[in-house]
Amino acid sequence: MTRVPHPVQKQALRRNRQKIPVLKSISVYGGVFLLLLLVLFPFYWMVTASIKNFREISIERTLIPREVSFQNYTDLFEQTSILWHLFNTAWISCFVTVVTVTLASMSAYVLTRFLTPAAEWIARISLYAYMVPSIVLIIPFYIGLQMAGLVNTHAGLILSYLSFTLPLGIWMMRACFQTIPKTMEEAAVVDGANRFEAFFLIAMPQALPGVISTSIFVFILCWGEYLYPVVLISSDSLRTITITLDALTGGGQNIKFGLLMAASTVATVPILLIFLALQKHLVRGFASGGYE
Amino acid sequence: MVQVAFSSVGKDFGKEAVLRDVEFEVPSGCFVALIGPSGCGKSTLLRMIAGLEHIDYGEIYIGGSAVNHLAPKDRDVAMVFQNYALYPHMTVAENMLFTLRMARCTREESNNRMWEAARILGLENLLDRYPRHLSGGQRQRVAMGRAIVRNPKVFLFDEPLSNLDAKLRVQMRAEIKRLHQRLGTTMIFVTHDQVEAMTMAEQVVILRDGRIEQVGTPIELYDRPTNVFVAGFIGSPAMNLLGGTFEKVHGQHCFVPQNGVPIPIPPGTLVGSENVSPGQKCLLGIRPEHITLPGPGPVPEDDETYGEIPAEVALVEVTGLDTHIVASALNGEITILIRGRFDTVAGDKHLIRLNFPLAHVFDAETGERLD
Repeated sequence: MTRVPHPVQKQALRRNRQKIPVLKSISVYGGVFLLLLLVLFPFYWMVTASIKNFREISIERTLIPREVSFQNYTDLFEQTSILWHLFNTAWISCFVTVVTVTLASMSAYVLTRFLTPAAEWIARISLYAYMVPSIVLIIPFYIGLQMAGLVNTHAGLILSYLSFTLPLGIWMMRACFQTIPKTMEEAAVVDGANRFEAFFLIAMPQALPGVISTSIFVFILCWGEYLYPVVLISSDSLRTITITLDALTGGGQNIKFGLLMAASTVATVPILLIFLALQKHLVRGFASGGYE
Repeated sequence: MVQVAFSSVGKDFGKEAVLRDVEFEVPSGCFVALIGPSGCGKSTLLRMIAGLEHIDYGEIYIGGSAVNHLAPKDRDVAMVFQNYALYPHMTVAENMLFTLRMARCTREESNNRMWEAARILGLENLLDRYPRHLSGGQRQRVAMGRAIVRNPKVFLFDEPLSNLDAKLRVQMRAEIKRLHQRLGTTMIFVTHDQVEAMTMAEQVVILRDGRIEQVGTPIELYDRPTNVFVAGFIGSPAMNLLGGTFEKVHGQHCFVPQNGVPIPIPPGTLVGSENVSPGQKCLLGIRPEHITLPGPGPVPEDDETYGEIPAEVALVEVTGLDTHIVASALNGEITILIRGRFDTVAGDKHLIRLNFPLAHVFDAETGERLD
């Protein structure tokens, strides 16, 4: 027999049911707020510190700037070659991204379409290669590049970047190609396309979300890379932005916080804009590629 | 003229033979269905014609020339895939024009051919849509349109109706058949649905475990199956197969079911049974529609070509058009198909009548037909 709840119990049940979503929403939004606070506060601090004067940064440590000053930016552009270093970083990052995505797409395509039995192992090896810390590879790289006459050149830096961007790119693009049905390329081949045409005209357009997310990842990695440029580059004209930031710390003795925060803001803005512009594609790429 | 021919074609996947000694010919303009259970190698055979699978041994000829070493694009075939394989980033028009773009056709000729195909398939209003905005039937038509624009020697269909619902499937079946009548091009159609094969094809090739079991017209396959597998595969509900022997009992030729009472066979009615040696184990095959119950059907009560056996109704299924009756008889179950309605319920006892002239006799060990 079904037990019919008493009207009072019914009301209590209804109240409980209403309470649960409200409590859930509060806890979810509370959690998100805390997370956002953790993530965004350093950015807030960086930007506000860049427009504060020395006193506000180092002595008073105000949360909200009392006086807005762009002196740090003026000093930054006058005292350092940050724009030039930014340009170096941008072109190297773009170049490495293009090379990585091109080579990784082709390699990943071959891995998913032709070398099926060995593909899993090759893909794993590429991932393990990515997991090897740069600090372990830096000395062999330095020796190798010195022998090739590529130390203190952008070419040497690009080669060193490719050593970690390519394995990551192959892994990501492989996940992307695995989601694209082979039958479409087979249809293209029957329709008269050769393998290259099937790859470029059919597979690649469908792999676009994967290409975009891989590009963003690779670009960010190159933009923020510190160890290779600091070891391989010695000329000021060849420096990248991370070395500029390092230089502004003054070796930890005489940190110019205002300049450092202004430089950090300048270094962050391009990458933030790119990320915001392509955010939708990045999420789509993650969703389609199964990168977890 | 023969359009597609297979000469001892075979294929192995690792140590497993997927296709063995496949040998048959498809006449020009013929509609052939490749049918068989899952994993019998029918799709692999189709892909071998298209050039998507390597031919391990034997030769495939298209239009009289061996194509074993030709790239898919040089075989002059068009294929419609099970999942349609439409290019999602291209519109319907671009999908259809792709093959002509690859063939370096002029823009004018490409457009003419595309419009002609669109007109045949009623796709004129969908040309600027993307595949994701189309229904299953429309996608199917676009896939066919993509094949038509090429004007190929052979059309290959790989289970193209399997993703459609029952109603649309019937509709598309008729459309493909009409298309074949209109174009007159050779078509090879893979399906696991015997109704599709029987209704659409002029020739049916039945495959099992990579071997051809029988090649023939749908009626030949239905009326004279060469073995038990074909007999059981073609026809729905499936043919009844009764195990037993043929013996002389009191001077009369009888079918003696296992542990059953001999059923006298009127002379000259069951041709295959007369060549069977006494005691040889056989299977008597009889289709459900060739069994009648007293009352329905055109069989007069005194027709001596019918053998009578007692049966008890176990299950009655009314489809609307037909009545399917599963009855217990001869220590087993027999399916009976009555055209129209028949008023009976489980537990009823009837004297069912087997139409011997339309029955089949198979060797119980080899499964081969015995006449």
